[in-house]
Amino acid sequence: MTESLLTITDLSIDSLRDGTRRRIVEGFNLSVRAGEIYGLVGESGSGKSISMMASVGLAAQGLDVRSGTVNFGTRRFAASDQKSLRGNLSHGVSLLFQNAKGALNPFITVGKQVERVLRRRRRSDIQGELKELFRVVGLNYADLGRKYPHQVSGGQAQRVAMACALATEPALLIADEPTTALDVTTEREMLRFLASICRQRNMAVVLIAHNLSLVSEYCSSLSILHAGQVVETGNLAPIFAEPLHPYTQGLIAAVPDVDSPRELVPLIGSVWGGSSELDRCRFSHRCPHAMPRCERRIPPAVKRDGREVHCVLYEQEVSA
Amino acid sequence: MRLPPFFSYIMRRIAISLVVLLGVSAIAFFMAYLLPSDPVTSRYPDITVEQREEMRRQMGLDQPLVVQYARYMESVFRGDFGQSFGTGNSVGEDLARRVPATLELATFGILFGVLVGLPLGIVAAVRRGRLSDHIIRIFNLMAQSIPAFWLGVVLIFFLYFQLRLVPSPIGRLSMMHTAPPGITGFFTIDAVLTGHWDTALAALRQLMLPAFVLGLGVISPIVRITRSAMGEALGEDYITFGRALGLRQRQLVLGDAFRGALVPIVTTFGFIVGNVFAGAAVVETVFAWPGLGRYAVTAITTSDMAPVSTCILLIASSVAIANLVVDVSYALIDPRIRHEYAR
Amino acid sequence: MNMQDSALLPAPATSGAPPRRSMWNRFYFGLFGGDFLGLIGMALLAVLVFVAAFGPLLVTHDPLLTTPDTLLPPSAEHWLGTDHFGRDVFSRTVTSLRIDFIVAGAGVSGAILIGSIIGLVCGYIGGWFDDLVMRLVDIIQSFPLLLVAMVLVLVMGPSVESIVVVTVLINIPIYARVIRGETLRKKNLEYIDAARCSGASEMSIVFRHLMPNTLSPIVVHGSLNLAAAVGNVAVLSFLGIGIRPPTPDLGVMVAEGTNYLVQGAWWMSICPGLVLATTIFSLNLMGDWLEGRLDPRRSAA
Repeated sequence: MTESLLTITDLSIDSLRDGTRRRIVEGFNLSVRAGEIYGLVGESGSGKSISMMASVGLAAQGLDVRSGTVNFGTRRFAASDQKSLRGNLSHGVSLLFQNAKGALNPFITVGKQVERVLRRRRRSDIQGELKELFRVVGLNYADLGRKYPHQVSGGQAQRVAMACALATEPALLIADEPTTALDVTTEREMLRFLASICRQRNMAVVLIAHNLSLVSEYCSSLSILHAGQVVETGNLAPIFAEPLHPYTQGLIAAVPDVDSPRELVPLIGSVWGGSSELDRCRFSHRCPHAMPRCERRIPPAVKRDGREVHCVLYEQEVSA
Repeated sequence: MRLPPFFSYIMRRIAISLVVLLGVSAIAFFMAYLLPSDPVTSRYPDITVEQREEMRRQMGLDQPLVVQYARYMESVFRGDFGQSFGTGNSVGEDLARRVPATLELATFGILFGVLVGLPLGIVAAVRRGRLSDHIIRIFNLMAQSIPAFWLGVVLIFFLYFQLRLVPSPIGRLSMMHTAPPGITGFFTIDAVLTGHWDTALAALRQLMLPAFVLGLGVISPIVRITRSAMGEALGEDYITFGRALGLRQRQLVLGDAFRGALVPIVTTFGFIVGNVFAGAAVVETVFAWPGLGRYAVTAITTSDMAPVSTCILLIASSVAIANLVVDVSYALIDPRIRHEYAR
Repeated sequence: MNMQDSALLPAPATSGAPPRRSMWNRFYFGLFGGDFLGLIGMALLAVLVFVAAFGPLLVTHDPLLTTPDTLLPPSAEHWLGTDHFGRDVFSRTVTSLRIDFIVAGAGVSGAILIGSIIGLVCGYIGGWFDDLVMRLVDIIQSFPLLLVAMVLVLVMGPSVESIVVVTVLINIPIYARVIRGETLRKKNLEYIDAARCSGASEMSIVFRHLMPNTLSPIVVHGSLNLAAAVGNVAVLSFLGIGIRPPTPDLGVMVAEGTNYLVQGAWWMSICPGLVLATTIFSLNLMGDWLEGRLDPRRSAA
């Protein structure tokens, strides 16, 4: 394994609303190597975005980052110190949002938005670099530079956002469902484009998505998150070949496959159906293999074929 | 900005304001008409019944209400607002002296309110839920709760009667000073422009307390709207994105988020102008400020018909103009609205 | 982990129970959401309402009785001193509070009743009727309402009744607007469609289904509006157009007191005004607290 660029260890996040504390992310781990595309998959509300935002110091108000450490390059930060995370990671990590139009300031022309990000790093030839960045993301500066965000299409807005992100010359790009708001054809185009930029610039990407099949086409490693707990993580190939965790199995069973059509099996229940107040497996309320032990503690990680799975089913085998 | 379509929008907006003002003028006239007084008897108290009827006929008071209203509007358009029997002058003359006094008071009051309210609202939004937010909230609720007339009395008692820190509350200038030559009608500014420094200082000292009391009433709505609008703007994705890109917090809060919050903040301006005129009626009474508000109150209490309808019309027009300015400024603030108009 | 045996069963019905809290904690967080100010506002208001309600039993002197003991400073006999007619300022303040609460309360209630009906009808019917009424509301709201209130009180003749009527009139637009907006938002929601599909009459939809849902904005605006109304009644009397002497009123008392400041009789103005400010403050605190509790948009933020 080559050395990792970003490592998140034991990240736990609580939400503080209406005077009550809810545990929404529990023991989140992640390790991204330089230049790789890493998939982070889970249903809506499973804590994917919250974890990633918190690990770069952008935890929303009302969230309390309880524990965790973040290693970026050679530096090490406590996740609870959001301020220093933000101060130090803004140079190395950039973000892309689901809603690209919302991510652009509606009161400034798109050209100016990229320009002011550029100005933070460069002193000379800003105009030249600006035009180059627009070219890289596949836009024409002369056409679009003076337009306001509301005057460009969703795909164009995402490309402008990409130009902003690239202007910081990041080593890591966190793409938070960057294509969900786009239509299907643009979606593929956007992801292919993201993958090619990633290769050209040796930039790592954490691709957050709820669509497992989409992610599988582009990434090399994968983490699957359920209700704030990582259920399975590791290289893509073994996970797809033989999903171990019941949730992963369910997700893959729910993905249509053109080559070998079969009956799709829907996952029943909702993400937060089970209580999150206690140490337990948060998937047990939807799990076909649930047993009393699942309710008693957070399932420990079990290593197997180049991945980790968090499920008591496999713990048994090891201890036996 | 493409001007012609925007220009036509402004014209359309002005036309709407004029229609509203026409309605306002009718109601203002009707309200003054309702006042329990008779313009003839109040001007000539010692005339016989026959003379009175004759006078009424001459003044057109025997005509139907609609005709009287039409004649009233016709003279308003000639710039004739009628006579005040209280002062014996034409209402136009009276107002020419009183409007600048109120404008000076209102300008300083609004300026004070905005300069205090905006930063407080921004701080409360940025530090939402923290101690400073709660302190601002308490301060704001207090500012909103203290009746202006009582605050005026308390301040006069302590700062003038007890401590002699401020000059006697008897209007725009103390007896020792003469009014500076009229240029803008603002004593402070005119005195500075003509180099009467001690008069400027004296005028400012007179102005301080009433402007403070008037401005305190402005703070509360500004803090409220700034806090909620800034709070909303700070939660927008483009702020998070800007932070992710490493833009400075100062730039993001005061530049990006504030611009996003500006439309709702500016919207309250019309409301504030209306509030300030109502507040001026009270503050001017407490501080013997010779302005429009006190003039209106005196006219109403003495059933002085012409000044009453003129004052109501004037204040309603100011609110309408403020709202017009607000609507037009939207387009300057937000390019989306600007392009909406252009279509 | 220290769990009871029952929780070992797969159905974790009991495992989600929140940590135990004391009675006080449950009351404080449940009702006030940890909002200390809301609690203070309610406590203050409770005291003031109590004083207003039992005013006649609490007064130490006849509030209208003139005595030769004029302009006495606060003492054990006259807690807040006496005024220029030798009347007891404390007794007058207590009596005024009662009158001001009744006037503002009646005015705001009337405005809520009429304004809500107008708003419901406008929001529900829509069309030209809605347009007409809303333009009228626009025009009314562009008036200097304080001056309009003064004129109307004079036209009707200064009395407690006319102040109530005027308070109703100038506050109707607030509720018409708020309730109309709320009705517009709610009337196309599924449950209204469901009611319509199950054959509910228009009247029953408006009054049984839409009206209860407009309650929380009414409560929020009502308490803030009540604060403003108490202030406005006092302003009117301060300017000499409201409740007339000798009937005690907080605004009148402050106004009368201003003439005796020069003699140092501060208690005449400052004490009744302080009570007035506290009343308005407690109502505003309550409105602020209700807004936080009942407005989902704010509590979500």
